[in-house]
Amino acid sequence: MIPIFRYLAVSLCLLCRLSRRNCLLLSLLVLAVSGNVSAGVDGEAGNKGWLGSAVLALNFNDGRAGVIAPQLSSRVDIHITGPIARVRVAQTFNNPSDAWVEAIYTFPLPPDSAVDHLQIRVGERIIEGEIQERVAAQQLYQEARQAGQQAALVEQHRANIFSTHVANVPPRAELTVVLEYQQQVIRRGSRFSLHYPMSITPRYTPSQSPADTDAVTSDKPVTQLATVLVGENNNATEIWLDLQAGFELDEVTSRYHPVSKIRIDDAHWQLRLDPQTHNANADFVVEWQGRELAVPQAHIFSQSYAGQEYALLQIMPPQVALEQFRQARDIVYVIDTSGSMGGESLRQAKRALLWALARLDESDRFNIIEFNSEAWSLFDSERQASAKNIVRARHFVQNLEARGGTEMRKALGMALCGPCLDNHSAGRLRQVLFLTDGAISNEEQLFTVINSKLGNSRLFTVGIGSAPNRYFMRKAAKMGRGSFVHIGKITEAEKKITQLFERIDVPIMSDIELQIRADNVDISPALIPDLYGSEPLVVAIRADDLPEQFILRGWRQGRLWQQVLALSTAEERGGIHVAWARKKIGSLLDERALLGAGQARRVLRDKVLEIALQHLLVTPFTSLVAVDKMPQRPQVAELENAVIKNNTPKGRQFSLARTATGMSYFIWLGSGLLLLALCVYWLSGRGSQSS
Amino acid sequence: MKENQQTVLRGCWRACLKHLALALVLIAVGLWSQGAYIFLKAELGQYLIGRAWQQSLQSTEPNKPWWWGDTWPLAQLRVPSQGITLTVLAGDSGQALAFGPGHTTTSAQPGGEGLVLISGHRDTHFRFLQYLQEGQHIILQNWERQHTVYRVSGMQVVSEDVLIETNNNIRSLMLVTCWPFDSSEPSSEHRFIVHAQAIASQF
Repeated sequence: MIPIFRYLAVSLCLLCRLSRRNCLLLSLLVLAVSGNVSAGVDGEAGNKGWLGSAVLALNFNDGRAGVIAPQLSSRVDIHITGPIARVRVAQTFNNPSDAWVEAIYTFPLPPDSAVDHLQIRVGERIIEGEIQERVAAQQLYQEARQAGQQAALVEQHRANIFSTHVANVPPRAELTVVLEYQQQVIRRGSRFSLHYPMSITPRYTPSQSPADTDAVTSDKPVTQLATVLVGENNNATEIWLDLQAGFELDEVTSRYHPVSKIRIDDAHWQLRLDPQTHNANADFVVEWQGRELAVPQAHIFSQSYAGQEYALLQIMPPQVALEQFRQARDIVYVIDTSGSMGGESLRQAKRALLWALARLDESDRFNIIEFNSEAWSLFDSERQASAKNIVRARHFVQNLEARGGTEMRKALGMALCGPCLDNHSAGRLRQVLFLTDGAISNEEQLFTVINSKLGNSRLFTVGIGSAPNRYFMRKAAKMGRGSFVHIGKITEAEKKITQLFERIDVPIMSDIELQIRADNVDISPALIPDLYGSEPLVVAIRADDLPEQFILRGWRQGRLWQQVLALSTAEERGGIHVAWARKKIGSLLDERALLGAGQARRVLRDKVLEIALQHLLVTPFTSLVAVDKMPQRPQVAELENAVIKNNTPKGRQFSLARTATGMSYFIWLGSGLLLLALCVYWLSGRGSQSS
Repeated sequence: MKENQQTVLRGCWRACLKHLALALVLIAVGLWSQGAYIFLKAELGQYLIGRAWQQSLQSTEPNKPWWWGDTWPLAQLRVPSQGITLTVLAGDSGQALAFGPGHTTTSAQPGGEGLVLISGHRDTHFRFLQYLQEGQHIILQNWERQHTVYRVSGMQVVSEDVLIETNNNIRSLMLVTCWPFDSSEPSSEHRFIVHAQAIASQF
């Protein structure tokens, strides 16, 4: 890259001498071109979004770092309780050298999971992890490391990458890392699934490979290849899975691995993966599906933890003949048409809206509100979704144009009309879909509007682009008993908006209430959202002492629906208090993000800290640290002058060289510029002819 | 008077355009020569290195292709089915790869036990990797005149930051280049890997 700039500079000087008049123009041009070139190269750095492998790296005291330790075996226990899964992973490594080392264990976790338990076993010793404030944890670890004690520190780097440092691992020792984390079960339609990552290194298959297509991996046994990628070594993994879905199961399957299954009862199954019979090429994926229901089915799981009782309520929507349970709706679409929505954002939003209009049922009523610096509505109030009205609405949507500023309050006030009662609104659910890309500054005012005027409406917020104030929009949706969708990539706007429309298409039950006779009851989310046909509803509860019976109440098809839920204390499940704490911390962190610096912010931080410390959660303010009280490394000056006899692990590690040049890039760019020069020259010639 | 002014303006504009064209030509030539330089380095490098390799074979010791060089020919790579003969250099730094495929110094020596890792540029020396088929033979000759025949066992595309782990007891060869092949960008996030296993070695 450098020679070309030198070349440019020299030619620039020459030209300047030729003509001073055009000097400025030329230097501008050169700057622009060189800027382009460097931008093209810098852009290559690109984003590598994939997860690294779960790897144990060893740091030696002589400065060599990052030697990968061989993994011996792992054992995984998975407990699924309704919507949550608790995973316990025990992995055994060994230190293949004759030196004391520091081990760094890096592992990816599913995006919504968090570690809350850590245990390190070195030989006969067990080191238990404890949650500490982040700074304190780091200090504790460093102290222990210096003192020659065994210690471990778990930290969260990015949302889903965690690392554990283990100091002072003895030579030739076996080291077992036991981790526990919790994650959400994945739901797609009426199917549920859980993934445990086993094929650690991602594989890319060339799409248009000219080479023999069969030769391009993935289904080929790794053993045929002389070399293997890290993580694909033959580490035997045993998986034991206990599934309590909270509803009667139709089937349970493992997608890629043969498993043995035991049926305890209709809703409770156990699966085991034998370490001898599988290859680690595919993730372990378990899928299950419930029986079709005719009425909503609620199940409650409970656990007592640290003197308090926790419960998780899961309500499954019925799946049989959804149309029959469909509740008529009043829908108000509010769309931002400020200048910043111009172009792709508005085009996609329009398409999504048109699609939504086409889906409206005759019994539904609707309205559309457009806002920028002002706010207008299509009709004065909601109208029947008749063919005539739909045509008018389509016309209105097609003519939407982006201009002006963003004045949200008026639009919000128009959409949320308080109780919004008229002759036809009885038994209807009123949904307001709020679609904007704007940054919001007058949050307090807007919250006031929502609070005072929500009435029987539900507020769904859709934020487009990177600008929207996500904390505001999530909180607004929570206050409005709806949900929030964030659309980061504009190209996904249509898809995601459409998904939201589909999800809230079939309301099953609204105004859900829980009646619990107990002290200090905390329900999260505090305002229980409605139950839709598309997904189960999950509510986390904490109380001093939970009664044996709950009453669940809600409006279904215009009538009050009530169910008594019995709490069976006989079967306690793990992780329920964690589910509650994480929901709580999530909303506290949102709350905190809405506040500027100050006293209130600090109070919220303390609240988060208190819950995190009590429930052993790794959060932005806390880390998991494990320290053994006894020094393990002999107090000799081994650190400085240790001679490492055998430090090469069985296999070696290489990283890959850079194997591309910009040859064709330069030649193409040069040809392009030459063509441009010809054009310019021709232009100047034409000018002289005409004169 | 007015006409005069217009003529001056027009003349000025023409001069501007001409200089602009000249500047563009200069930049284009610069870019071209940058590209040609890479190409020449790769072709001429192989020629010079090939000569040094012949000398190494005669003297059975490393021989630098030019006196200021920081690398030397280490082995010769032949793929009979593709009509390819390349001289492999020691080291996989950018300087070495400009002249020929480079051998990762920390991997096994050509002809030795373990994995031999050789990288090359996708747009020059290792362009042929895309046409390689499973089962084809690759012959590696070290400067002790020892030939090792490898059989291609598979291809794989991986992310650039992947770590390669090897078993030191299996004689194998791995050729690495950037992927996709038809991209003109000067760097890439993916690597195309050819795995090959030794089937015979002879002196």
